[in-house]
Order: sequence, then C-alpha cells, then structure tokens
Amino acid sequence: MTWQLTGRAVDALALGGLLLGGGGGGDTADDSGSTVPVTVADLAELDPGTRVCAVAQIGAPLIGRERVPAHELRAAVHALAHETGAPFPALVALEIGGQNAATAAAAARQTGLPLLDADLMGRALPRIDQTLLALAGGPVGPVALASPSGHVLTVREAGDEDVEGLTRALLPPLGGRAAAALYPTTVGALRSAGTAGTVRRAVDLGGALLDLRAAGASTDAGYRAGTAGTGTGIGSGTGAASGTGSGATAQVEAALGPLGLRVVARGDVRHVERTGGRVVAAVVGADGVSRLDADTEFHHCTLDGRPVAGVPDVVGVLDARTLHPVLVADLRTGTDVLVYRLPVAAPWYTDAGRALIERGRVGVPA
Amino acid sequence: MSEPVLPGLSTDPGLVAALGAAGGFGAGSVGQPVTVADLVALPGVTGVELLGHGDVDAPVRHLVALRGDQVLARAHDRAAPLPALAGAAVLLEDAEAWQREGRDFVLDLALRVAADEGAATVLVPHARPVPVAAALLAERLGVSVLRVAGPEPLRALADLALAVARPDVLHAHALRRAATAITTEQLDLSALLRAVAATLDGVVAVQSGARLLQAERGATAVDQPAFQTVHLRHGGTAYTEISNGRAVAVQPVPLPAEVRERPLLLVAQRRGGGRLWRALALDVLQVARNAVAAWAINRFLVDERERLARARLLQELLAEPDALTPRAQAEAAALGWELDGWHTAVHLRATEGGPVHGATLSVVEDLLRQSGLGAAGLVPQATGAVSWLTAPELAGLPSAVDLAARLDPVLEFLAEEPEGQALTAGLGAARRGPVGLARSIVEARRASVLPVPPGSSSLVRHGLGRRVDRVLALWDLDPLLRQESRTVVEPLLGEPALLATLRAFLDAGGSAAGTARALGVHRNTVRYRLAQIEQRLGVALTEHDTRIALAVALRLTPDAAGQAGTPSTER
Repeated sequence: MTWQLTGRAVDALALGGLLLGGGGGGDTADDSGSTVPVTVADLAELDPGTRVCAVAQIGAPLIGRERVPAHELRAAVHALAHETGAPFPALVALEIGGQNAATAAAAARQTGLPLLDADLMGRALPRIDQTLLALAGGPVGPVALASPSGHVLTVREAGDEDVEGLTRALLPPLGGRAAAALYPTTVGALRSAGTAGTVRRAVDLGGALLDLRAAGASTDAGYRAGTAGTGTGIGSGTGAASGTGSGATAQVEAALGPLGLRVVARGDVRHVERTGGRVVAAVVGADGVSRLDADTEFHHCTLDGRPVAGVPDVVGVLDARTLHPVLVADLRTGTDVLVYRLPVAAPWYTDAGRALIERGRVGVPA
Repeated sequence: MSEPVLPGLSTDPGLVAALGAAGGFGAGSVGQPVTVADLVALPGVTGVELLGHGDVDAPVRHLVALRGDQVLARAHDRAAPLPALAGAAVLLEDAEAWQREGRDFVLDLALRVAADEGAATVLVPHARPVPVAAALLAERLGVSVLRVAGPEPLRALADLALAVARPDVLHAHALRRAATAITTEQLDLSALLRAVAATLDGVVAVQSGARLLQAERGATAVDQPAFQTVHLRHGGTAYTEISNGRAVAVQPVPLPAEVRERPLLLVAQRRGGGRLWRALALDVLQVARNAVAAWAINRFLVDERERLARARLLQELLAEPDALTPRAQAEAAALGWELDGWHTAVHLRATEGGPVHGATLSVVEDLLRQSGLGAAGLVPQATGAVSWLTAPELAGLPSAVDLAARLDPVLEFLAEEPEGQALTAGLGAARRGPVGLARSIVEARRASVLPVPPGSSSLVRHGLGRRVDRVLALWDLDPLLRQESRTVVEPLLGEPALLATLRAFLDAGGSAAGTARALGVHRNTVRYRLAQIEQRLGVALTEHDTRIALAVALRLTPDAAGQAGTPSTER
C-alpha cells in the first residue's frame, strides 16, 4: 500500500524515530519543506528488481543541531546514481532510529522520489556496516558523501571491512557530518533482509505518543526537532495521560504496548557517570535500583540486578514528565524517567546479528 | 568441603577467657570461619575497599571464582548450573574484562546472583571505581562488595584466598612478623608501637590509666581514625570489642607492684577489623606487652635516678646560688639546665598536704612536656616538687598569666583523674642567673600557699603575675642603677630608724599619720624623722618623683631593704 507522509505523520515519524533511536542517532533532522508530502511505498508493491539506495546523515549528530541544511542529500543520491551508472527510482532510510528517520523523508522530498516503508537497521546503530543488509551479505558501498557546502566524495571499491573506516576518515574535511547515499541495492534484497514496515512502525509509535501527550495538557513543541527535554510537559496531573502521576507507566504501556513497547523500569536518575565514551546511570525507583548502560545508544538495563532490557532490543528512556525520548547525551541527574524496550527485526537476534551489533560498542574490537 | 577454622589462635587460658568475657571471639568462637570484616582488615593487605551494607560479620566459608558467562547464563535461566555460593566469598574473576568490553553491567547481575544464593561477599578485582549504580544495588540487596584494587591486586587476592582457606597460616605469619619487629625495638617505645601498628595495619597506643601516653599508627594505616582512649574492664584482663565501628583489643601490661601505681594498657584499634583481626591483635599485643613492661620499668628507674640527681643538685643551688662548684655546674649542664638564662619557677604542692607521689610526678612530667612546659623536669622537694622554664632572653618566657593559663588544664586534668592527686601550683617571677633561679623558686614556693583570689577558680597562684614584675626584674639587673641607688640612700645607712621610717612613709603613700600608725610612734616623731631624712638626702619628700626614686633605691640596696624599723619609745 502506498501512502502519503504528510501533516501530523511527519511529526509522528520524527518522534517515532527518537523512540526507536534508543537514546542515539541524534534528535535534529532537516525538516525543511516538511509540508511537502512524501510518498511512502510498500516493498511488496514494488518490482523486486527496482533499484534503491539508502540515505542518511552520518557523523556527529550534535553538528546537525547547528548546521543549516542545504541540498546535500540530493547531491549524495545523485552522486551514487552517477557512480553506479543508473538512477534510483526509490530511497530507503539507512536507520529508522534517531534523526535519520526524518532525514530519509527529507531526502525523498529533495529528490522527489518515493520513500520505501523500510530501513536497513530497524533501530539506531553507530556504524554504517551494522545493517540487516550487511548481515545478509550485501555490500555497503559504494558510498557517496556530500556536504552542505557542495563537496561530494565517493568511496568506491572498498571492501566492507574498510568502508566504515574510510568513510569516517572523510568526515572531518566535510565538517564532521555529511549526507550519505549508500547500499545501492534492490527491493528484492531488502525484502530478503527482513527490513520492511519500519517507517509505518515509527509513525505509529510516534503517533501513539503524540496522542498520549495530547490527552494531557502537553504541547507538541516539546518533541520537535532541536528541543529535546524542553517541552512544557503534559500537564499537572490534570489529564488522563499525565506523566507526572504514578500511572505514567501504565498509560505509556497502554498506548504503546500494542506496538511492542514495554516499560521495564521507572525512577529518578540518581547518578550519571561518563567515562571514555561509556555512560552508566543509576535510576532509583519504587521497584528497585536500575542500572542503564550506554555508549552511543542505551544498550542494557538491569533492575535490582536482573536483566530487563538489552540489545538487540531497542533500550530507550522517556522523560516521565514530558514523555519525550531522552538522548544518552541529555540524560541528567534528577530526571524522572521511564526505561522501555522495543523489539527489533528477527535477524538481529541470531548469533551473527548480536555479534554485528556488538561491533559498534565502545571497547569491542571492530 | 571441610570448613576452614582458626585453630589454636590463643592458647593462653586467661586470654581465651578474656576473649570469651568480651562477648566476641573467645573459647566458644575458636574454630569459626573468618568474616567479611576480617577480609577487609587483613594485616598487610592494602587496596581492599568495602562497598554496600551487607553483614560484615557474615562468616566466609570458602572462596568461589565465578565467570561472566556463568553469571549471564544464570541471569537468563534460573536453572543454569552454578557452584555452591552459600557462605562463599565470590570472586568475579573476569570482572576487569567485562569492564573493558563495556559489559560491566554483568557486575550487577553477579550481585543479584550472590544475594539470591546467600553468598557472604563478592570480590571484585576492579582497577577503576565500581559504578555508583552497582554500589547502590549492593546496598539495596545487602551484599558486601570488596573491591580489590591497590598497587598489588594479585597479592591482595592471594592473601584474601589464604585468609579464607587457612586463616591460621595468615595469623601465624603476621604474629611472626610482629615478634621479629618487637624483639628489635626493645626500649624505644615509639618504634615498638609503630612496629606493632604496622603489623596490625591500625593504631597502637600505651595508656596509663585513662591517660594516653603515646600512640603510633602503621605506615599503611594513614586512613585510620585517631586513637580513642579506652577503659580498663573485666577485672584487669585482656579483652576485645567493637566500638563505634572500630575493633579494639586491650592488653594490660604486667608491672611489678613498686612501679604499678596505675595500670598500664596496651591498646590496638582499627576501623572495621573483624574477629580474625581482633584475635591477632590480642596475640600480637600479648607478645608486645613484655617489651612495653620492660620499657616502663626502665623509664621508671631512669626517672627516679634523674629525679634524685636533680634534687641533690638543686639543694646545692639553693644553698649557694652564687658560688656553685665547677662539678655542680657541669652536672647542671649535663642535665640541660641553662643556669645563666632567664627562669620562671613553678612549685607544685599537694592540695591535701604531704608529698607529691612518684607516679603523680611522672604523670605531671609527661603532661608538662606535652604542654611545652617541662624543660627542667620535676625535682621532688619536701613540700612538693619544683620545676622551671628557662629562656635565653626574658622575652622567651611566658608571662605569669600565660603560664598559669597553660598550667591550669594540666592540674585540672590531674585532679579529675580517678587515681590522680590534686595539686596546686605557685609561680615565681622571671629572674636571671643561678641567683635569680633560686629566688624565683623561693617565690614560687611561697606563692603556692597563697589563698585563692576572690572569684578565681585557678589552681595556680602567683603574687607577681603582672607586667610590673618584669620592670622590677630589669631594675635588679642594672648595675648602674644599683650603684646610684646605693649612693642615694647611703646617708641613711647605719640609721635603721630613719630607713624604717622612710620605708613606712613610702608604703603609706606619703602619709605621715599612716607612717606613725605603721611604726607605732607619734606623728611628731615621724615628722621629725622625715625632716632628718630630707636634710640628709637633700631632697623634698613632698615631690612624687622623689618618692618613686627613693622606693626604687631602697629596693635595690640590700643593706637598706632588709633592716627592720625600730619603734620609738618617744611619744
């Protein structure tokens, strides 16, 4: 089924992306022209041989908060089409977690191409070679990189072992962040990799959270790009969906549970330690002491010494007051939070899938 | 598996009884395994940090090594096999690797497993601090966590393992170390206490009654709290206890009756020491107490000998201060008496009368030394004991008021001691040279019997404690002033009636009537004599400056100052 991404669904996609980001992937997307509808195409409706490439902004998410967007997404897609010898009739998101969900929609708008209801990760992960397509043996490159200032670079004929390192090495001259077009592939390969339906999932998750916030006295401003944690909250316990009461856990589970989200812990962030790229937070609540481990994303949560969430699941944190997803970088002592988990695509739960996810962790050899 | 025990830690029946009486480690306790508190306070083992609020008295029956994969398997499957953890010290052997690989949350899972299985403690070989989240969890679950870091973590782990498996070996090893150190430090109390403290990684002290004589801490015990004095209990036997989170072991020091005027205690303290430490401390103190007894007896004898020597020399000094023999001068120099300096004497007198006891003298000497007042040592005398402060210059001596303020706490402490002897002190003026010292000593003795000034609670008496004393002392020293003074009053020498009248007139503030009353003569007689004096001296007694000058001159002219007045029969 083909559908239009427009209006409230654009906001829902951005918020859903943050939920699936698990505290990583940034929170600021290029949403210029977001009023222009984007066509979202179901994989099943397209010819399996249809060429497609993935799009994303890669590099430091914080730079995206500051940088004025241009047409680098379109430039990257065109460069990859030129490199591979044929245009791409459709685009797919590299990762649905974090800001790259909205980035993919922005790329579709800039190029006028349909966006596939799929992504290559099903969540946020730090490396470009951590995808279901790579897990299935598909090549990552060539990779086309474009900066807002007009520079375009292409990484070609690099093996999958090298492409991540080479691409990262090119980012500093491009300002630490660049639009990327990569994974030139086909719709059939995406179907085999098990990546379908994630744009819809993000929109559904974000929409449900928007509804929950709207049921209270919340404003939508709180979750909009660039304003993490600054929402005015969902009222002072006046609404049924108030996040300030003890029922916040139940309300979130009632609204998002049918979409697979489970709240695993609730409490005050008592302490946050940041050491060498790793983050360990202590969350103390009525149910016990929780420990949250993170690097670029949250990756494990224990409650009273029992594992309650861990990769490959998305492990994420919601501000219990604003119901806004909290980035790892924004986790602060004193915040009342809900810790949740969301399941991801089945291939990630295989031994090979777990090993690939582990490659991106701080301290684990790539 | 057989339980490791503490066999034969203390074979002394009295000691074992004492341990039992203390309600801690005693006859009934020998044979019990070590506790978590023992592992924290293993002598010679550094870098073991206790986290969590677990039961530190929990017995540790064996050591079990656990790997991360075993912990993860159990965390996800309650049926996954594990070694028996009940009562164990669980060593997380690859905890460093978890941390390195960003899987440090396995530590939290291990704490849960340890709590569920009833482990006594969890040993974490972690170079970096344990995350706050894990520390909070340890508190919540009531699990004791021992983080093993420090410069030699492997050695610390080996010692911990040895302590669990064979505490008797560890105990014997520590005891042998202590015995070796003690036998080489026989008569230097500081070195002896430091050696014992180093063996026990704690603070070791000698108390005389309730008073601390000396405390030393081991080189590795810098984080141990300051020593707190203890009381003799249990009929004077050894004991151990836990007091305010610190383990305490007390051994009375056996002394001959002639020396033992108050009990001498050898005390070891350490924050967090367990049963093993307390038993070891008692045994180590038992080895050390004979050396301390030898030191105490030696000190008593040396003190007595020195006191006798000082008393004899002071007797000579007081008899002929200006004609000391070369031998006496040499002896004084050998005792450290700097007779040519400035001196302020202190005379101590028993409030209830009688002599000051030898033990009290020792205590006062220590206290004076600790207060910076014990330069000359105490010299016993028939009416008490005397000491003095000496300085090269007058400015180096404290004023009488300052000295009283420093002496009072010493005397108050002594009066409040259960077996203490109440003393009062008298102070002499600051004076120079051997003659000045003798005079200051006499003044101090006289001052010690002065009544308590109204409104004062001080135990120190001094009739001289004002600044004017120093002015008078300086007059005494000025030869020119002495010469002039003599010249002034010379016309009156050989005229005792005139000298007495002049002195009485000056004492009476220039009142002829007062002078007449003081001398018991008629007022006209006084007027007649005053006219005589004015005529002989060529002065006018009505002038204030003249009266001041004459008062100084009389004071500085011994011939004039010492002659008594002769009451006239004339009316």
